[in-house]
Amino acid sequence: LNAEVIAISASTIVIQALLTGEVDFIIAPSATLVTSRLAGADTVMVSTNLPLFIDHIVSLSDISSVEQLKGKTGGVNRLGTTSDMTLRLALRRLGVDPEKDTKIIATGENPQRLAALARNITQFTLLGEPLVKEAEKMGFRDLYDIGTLKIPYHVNAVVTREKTVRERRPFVLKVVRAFAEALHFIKTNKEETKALIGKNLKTTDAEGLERAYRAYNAAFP
Amino acid sequence: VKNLLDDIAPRTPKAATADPKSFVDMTLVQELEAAGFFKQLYKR
Repeated sequence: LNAEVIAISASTIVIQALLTGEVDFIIAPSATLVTSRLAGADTVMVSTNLPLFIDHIVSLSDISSVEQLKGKTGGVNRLGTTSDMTLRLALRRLGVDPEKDTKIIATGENPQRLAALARNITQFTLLGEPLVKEAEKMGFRDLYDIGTLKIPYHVNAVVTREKTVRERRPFVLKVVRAFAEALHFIKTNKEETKALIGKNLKTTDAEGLERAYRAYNAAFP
Repeated sequence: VKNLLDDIAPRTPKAATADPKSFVDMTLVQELEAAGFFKQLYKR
């Protein structure tokens, strides 16, 4: 395979790129797959890289239990996206009704979510490692590791079109194999993987990278 | 997929009747498994 990997952050654009044939595969959360298919697209998941939520609820330091989130405002990337759904599902599992007990608002990407916490616009948000470690350094509390709830959800599904599977099956098979080999590499090459995470997230923080590796490695199939 | 369909079903009627299995094509992974690919990979 001679693959080109490109980053597209908005799910609507990702789906358009897939449906117009600009890309053959997307790595997307279940929400993107489900909403596009319900809208009539022939999108289908052929493999998955991350079948569980692994983010943490990070809060202001004076909040010491999930119960204390009642009456507070939480920040997610955008309403209706994976971070929004993760937070709502987790809160429900933890006995907090996200609709009645809290207010959830869109505060943007990770840096903006942290800024909203720092300005007390929100009192809790959702972050993944190694950013949880960064947040702790800034004085926020790592309130709850959602990974421990083991909520099944394909955060990183490998999605293509049924048309592609039908017309180019050997190619699709190669891609599925490649993803399986990548997971094997991650599980058997810890230091190289940590270096790759650090390169992509632009961090050299050893403890943060270790925590990120542990969290992802435990969740990868 | 079922988690998500259940979550959006109150606001999206189509989700209530959708079959979660229709969103996933397991035949490719099954084909690799039948060919012994995963056993070989994790023997390395």
